[in-house]
Amino acid sequence: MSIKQLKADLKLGQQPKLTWLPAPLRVFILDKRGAVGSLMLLFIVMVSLFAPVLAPHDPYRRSGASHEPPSSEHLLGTTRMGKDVFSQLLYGGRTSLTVGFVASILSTFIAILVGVTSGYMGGKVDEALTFLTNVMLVIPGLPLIIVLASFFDGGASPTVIGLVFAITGWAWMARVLRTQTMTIRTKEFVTAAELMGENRLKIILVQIFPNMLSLTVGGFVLGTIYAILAEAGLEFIGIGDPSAVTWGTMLHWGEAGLEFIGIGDPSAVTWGTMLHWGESNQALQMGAWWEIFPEAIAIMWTGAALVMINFSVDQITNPALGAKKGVNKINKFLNSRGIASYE
Amino acid sequence: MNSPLINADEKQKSASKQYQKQAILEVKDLSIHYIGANDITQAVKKVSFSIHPGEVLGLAGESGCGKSTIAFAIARLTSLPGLISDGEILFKGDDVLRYSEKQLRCYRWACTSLVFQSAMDSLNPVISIKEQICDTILAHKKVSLAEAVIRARELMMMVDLDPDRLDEFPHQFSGGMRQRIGIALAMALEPELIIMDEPTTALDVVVQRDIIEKIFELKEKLGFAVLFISHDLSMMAEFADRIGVMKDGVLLEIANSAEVWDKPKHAYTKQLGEAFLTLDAATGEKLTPISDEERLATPLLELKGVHKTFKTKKGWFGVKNFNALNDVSFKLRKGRALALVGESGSGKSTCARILSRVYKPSAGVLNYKGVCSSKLQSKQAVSDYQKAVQMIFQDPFSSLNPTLTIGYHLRRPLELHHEFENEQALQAKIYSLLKQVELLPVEEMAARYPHELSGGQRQRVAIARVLAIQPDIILADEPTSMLDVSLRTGVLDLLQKLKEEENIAFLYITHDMATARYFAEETAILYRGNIVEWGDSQTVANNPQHPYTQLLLDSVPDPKRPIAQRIKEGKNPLREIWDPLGKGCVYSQQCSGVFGECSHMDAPIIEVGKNHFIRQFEYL
Repeated sequence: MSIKQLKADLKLGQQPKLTWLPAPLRVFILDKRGAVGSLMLLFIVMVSLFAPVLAPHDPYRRSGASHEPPSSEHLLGTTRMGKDVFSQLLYGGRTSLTVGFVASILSTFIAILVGVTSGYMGGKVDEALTFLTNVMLVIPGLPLIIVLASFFDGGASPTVIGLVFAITGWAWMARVLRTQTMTIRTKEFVTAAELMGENRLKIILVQIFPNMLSLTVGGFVLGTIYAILAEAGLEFIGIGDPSAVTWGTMLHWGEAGLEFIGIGDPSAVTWGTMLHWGESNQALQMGAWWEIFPEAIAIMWTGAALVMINFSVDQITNPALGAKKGVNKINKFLNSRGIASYE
Repeated sequence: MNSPLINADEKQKSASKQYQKQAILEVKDLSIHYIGANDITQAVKKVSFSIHPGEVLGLAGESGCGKSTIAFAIARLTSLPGLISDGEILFKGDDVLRYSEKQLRCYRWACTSLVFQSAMDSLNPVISIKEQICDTILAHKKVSLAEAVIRARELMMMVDLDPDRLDEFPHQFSGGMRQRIGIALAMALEPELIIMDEPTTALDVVVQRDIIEKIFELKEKLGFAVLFISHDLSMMAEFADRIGVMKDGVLLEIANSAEVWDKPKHAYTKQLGEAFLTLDAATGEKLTPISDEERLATPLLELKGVHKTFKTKKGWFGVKNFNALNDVSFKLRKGRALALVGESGSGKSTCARILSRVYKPSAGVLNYKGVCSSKLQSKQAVSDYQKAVQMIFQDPFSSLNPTLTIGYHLRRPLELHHEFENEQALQAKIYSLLKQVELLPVEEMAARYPHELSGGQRQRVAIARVLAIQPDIILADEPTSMLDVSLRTGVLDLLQKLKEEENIAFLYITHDMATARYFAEETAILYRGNIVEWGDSQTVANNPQHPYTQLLLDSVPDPKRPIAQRIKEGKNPLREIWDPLGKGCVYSQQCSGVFGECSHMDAPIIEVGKNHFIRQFEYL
């Protein structure tokens, strides 16, 4: 077997695609997992965005009998209250995704602000900010949300839950960014910029931050997954607003067992509230699987999409991950020449 | 060899025949490829050579020529995207390339071991030296822990380290000591071949001399073979039995050291040998001597009796003072260069940081154009000073931001310090700067990112960035030490051109006496924060008066004095006394505390010749 053959097997040497894109973006798009993840995410975002057009019924009102099985009229059946599950799924996505993304954007923003500032400034500023970060790290987020939620009449709306996630969730990433900033800070290009008389803001934004972009994007993606899952979880156990339609509340009303705590605002629709209602309505015991599965699958779908995107982002940060590609073909080549193969 | 009675050729032939019989390692037609994103490139092209017991084979070449790739392949450490695609590596007749994982475990370290370039990275910082050595022994031999410890102590003694320090951790040792530990570790299982990948590149001249002499001694005593990889042909010529020269993955020639150095067959070998500035070759004929008027004129920048003390933590609450600089004075003149020569830790970089006002001197003054810099209070004055004094860094891989284009690197200093009528004028200035440092074609270069450039090109960008500000003074911190030898003189010549044409004053920080002599009119030798000798570069190099300067010059590799001869002559006695890491020197840190207030700190200065001074010295 010749090197030429191996090259052909590994599909190298083809015209490089999308050369007009900056290199990191190109790696991301050409990586299959990243592309599939992005498409999956795009699909669910579009479907949720166009919910008013796509949804056949009003998700908040009765549109049929209790627990109707899926039919052409109700694509995914109805809940015990007679509301259309498919419409709820679409509308629920709007809230769940918004909460997830907004919470993650906010917490990433705080993390960058705190982490980079404390890493770059050092000294007293760093000590104060690190202290704050450490305090935030040991505050348990979930109980805090339960306490906060009880302050709001009719339960915590998805907005409140998102905000609380943002406020309690930035600390870990801030720590990572702080360490990274401290490493980059000692690089000579930063010293050179300082000697040149460059202002501090430009040094932070132009010289330091772009070097940690993929780390930040990775953190943002993971943060979104966390926020969506945690939101669904909270709504599911009924901490949230039970009348809201989210994928979480949908699940809740479909299952029995957990007492409805009743501190949520009973008018929002998110996947979390959907789960919640599904749970409370003992949907599975009644054989109404359609009240539970769609939102559960929607949550898994979104999680899977984001995880795949994260794999891809990882590869930009750490190119060594990509080196193992095609190891079977390489081993075949080595065996044909009698050289011991890679494990 | 040159006995007239025996035909020299015939003798050599029979010798090589015998060699081949006993060859401990034979590399035959070895090819190694790298799998890239778009192509598979060949890094090593059908290389063949053999190593015999007790022999030192040097492999020389510049970065990227494939020499380290071969070393890793011999130890079977090649990992993806590297790919050994063809050939044989025979260890005593067995093909290493066909070893299974299990056979490899027996082969690695017990048959061949490695010493890496950076001992800092190859020793685990959280495990004691004892454990690291014992682990290696216990993994291969069925011995008790106590026996392993005995062996570890033995190894420490072999490399001249105190065996009682076994329980200490890597950070408690100096760079040279860590490299000795690396060698001890490599010898732990008594391998027949030790591969050394640039083991002395990161070390200072005197320490380097120490390490290679130690390796040579051990080799003579224990009889292992050494594959020594380095880019330093002159050191190799002194140390190795045979040298192979590589370029672009091809082994150009392989022959006896003296032959390669004196009568290179290949044009590239010749070029590589000449690129090395030996002390005798660098006579500084491009420099014009400093006139007496210049000496009397107000210097551009002057350090006068500068001290710098750092506070280091001692215990929980205690503070220990560390004198980094002690009574340092020198002058930087317009269009002239002063070379500051010293080993790592001697305070060279501290000097540069004081000059760039990153640090404040603890005592003494810094005069800029005759005005004390502490009087620079207004924002304008500080910014003017900042503009006047700029720095070129050692590592061109760390001094350029990987996320920004070359154009941006030059645009910012221009925007900050100069005014332009419009975007076109700015763009034109960027292009003219690139042209000035010979980076062509300029439009293409401006759009590139740092990783698309070679080391030498990057250093040129760093120089252009400094030029953009139009400084009066450039502090060059070992600007060529990270570059390949063939690029060094090019960069130095560029700096030389700027010095003459733009009338810029240079502080040239280096540990290499030869380049100091080549580039700078004046030289000052820094030893543990003290300037011990200074004067015109030619005088200092030709007629060194201070024992430390003499030691520095003596330690520079010299192919005309092979290492065996040096060892026969005995260790340079100055090394014991003036070793920057040892003890017993007048300026040593150890002596200052133990013997009360150190009286040598203010040793008088003696003029030993015209414009040639030394600090008085005496032995304890």
